[in-house]
Amino acid sequence: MTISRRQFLTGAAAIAAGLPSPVGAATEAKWGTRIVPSTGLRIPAVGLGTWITFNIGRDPELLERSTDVMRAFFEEGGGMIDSSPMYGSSQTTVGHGLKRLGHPKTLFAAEKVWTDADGEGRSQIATTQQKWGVPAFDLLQVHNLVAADAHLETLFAMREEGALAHVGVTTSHGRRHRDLEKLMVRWPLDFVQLTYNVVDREAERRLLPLAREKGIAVIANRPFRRGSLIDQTRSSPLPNWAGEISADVWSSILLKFVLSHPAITVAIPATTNPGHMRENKAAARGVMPAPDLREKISAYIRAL
Amino acid sequence: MIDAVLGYSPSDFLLFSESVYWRLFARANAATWPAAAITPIAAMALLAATGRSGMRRAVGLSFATAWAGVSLFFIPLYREINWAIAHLAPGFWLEAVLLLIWALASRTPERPGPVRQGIGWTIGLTATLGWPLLSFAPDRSIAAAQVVGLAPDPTALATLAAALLFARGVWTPLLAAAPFAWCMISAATLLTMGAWEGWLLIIGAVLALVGLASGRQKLRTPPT
Repeated sequence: MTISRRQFLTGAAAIAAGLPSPVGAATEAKWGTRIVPSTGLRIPAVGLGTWITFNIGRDPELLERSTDVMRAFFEEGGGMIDSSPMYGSSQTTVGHGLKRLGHPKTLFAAEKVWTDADGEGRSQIATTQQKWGVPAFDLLQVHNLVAADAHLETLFAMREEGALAHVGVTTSHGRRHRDLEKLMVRWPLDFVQLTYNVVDREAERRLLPLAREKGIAVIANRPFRRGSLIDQTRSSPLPNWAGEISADVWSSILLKFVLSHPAITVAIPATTNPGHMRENKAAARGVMPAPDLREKISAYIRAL
Repeated sequence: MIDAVLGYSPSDFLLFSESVYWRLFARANAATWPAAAITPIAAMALLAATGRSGMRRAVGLSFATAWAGVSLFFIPLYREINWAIAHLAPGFWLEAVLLLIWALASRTPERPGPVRQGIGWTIGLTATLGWPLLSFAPDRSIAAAQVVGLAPDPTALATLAAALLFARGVWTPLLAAAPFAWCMISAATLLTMGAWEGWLLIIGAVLALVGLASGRQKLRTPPT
């Protein structure tokens, strides 16, 4: 019986997930990394989202601020930066920052295809690549499942050509979960991206278990519900149990909840504040809440 | 794509933050200074010349310039953060052309009826002098004051006022159509952002409709 390289790596990753990391133990502890099941690649568990926050046009002051956020991101280990053609000028902002920072090697470039024209995928990707100033992407995803089958054909062809490392699909706000589930069954996806946070837990029912079963990495978007969870908790003192997970700010509790689900590979909070970026990165390190504490966190925040 | 679009709520179409939006006006004002300090007063002076002989051409040419100014100095900035504006940008140029044609079309002076004049003055004052003062509100910046000829919202409102005060016959609704549409679109954006200025736009646009429906203008024979 022969097995494919991906099958071997998926199995090895599953085994490795249960064993202490050999050479990378210090790296994992320092940066809080997770394994991508399909390829065995290790990436930081907290990435950087760019929805809204990086859509700033050519405003020089805001471009500088976004570069500062990216600088903090890379100083804390880097990893996945996620954007999309739908996000206005965010792609250009990312490209500006990468150029200013000298294209750090720890970048995991994640982008999306967002067009309902089946044949426009490659040209849109080429445009996106120019904006980032990168030779290729680590992950390309079909944004919000628009023309999913057609674009997945293209993306898997690109992966076969060696022009792309990972293929994925995205949804958000709990939309189209049934369609997403069908795609996860039908296609050998490397990643899915969906909304998952302390109050939006719908994905726990079917999608997250399915992702674990099929060895699909999961990206959690809207971990703070576009800031509303931060606003909701801002004026509340930290509960005593926050110390059990070494969380000294609410954002850390919110992120640790997300990251403590065994199916989650990466969370991609967005921010315009370099200090908050460092806090987000710190949440991937140290103790994660056990199942009973996860339920306590969720109930506590729902009650606020 | 249509299925995907229908599944969204209004806030999902808001691609930018409120703070970034307000900064656009500061950038436009800085790039065209001292125009931002001059245009509100000039626009108010024009509207104040209601009924005076020969003023319609001056009003038409000036407001055509105002819409061109918005197209040249603000719309490109807005397009940086809102790709949907690309579809609306031609409407700004169309309005400028309409105003230009109207300015050159006829020389007959006219004076609006009292209701239309009252509404036109109210909207005109709000747009020219009142709107820039909104920048004194908390969480706003004086540098980002929105003025006629650079910012689309006061330009649209001031044009509604000009249409009520100076236009007659079919020209009134023709010149008011694009400004009215913009007031509704911008109001939707502002209210989605949680900015109360959106309500002012809606009120202004509805008042303009009342003014349009208030009856025919009374003509005054020019002096011999």
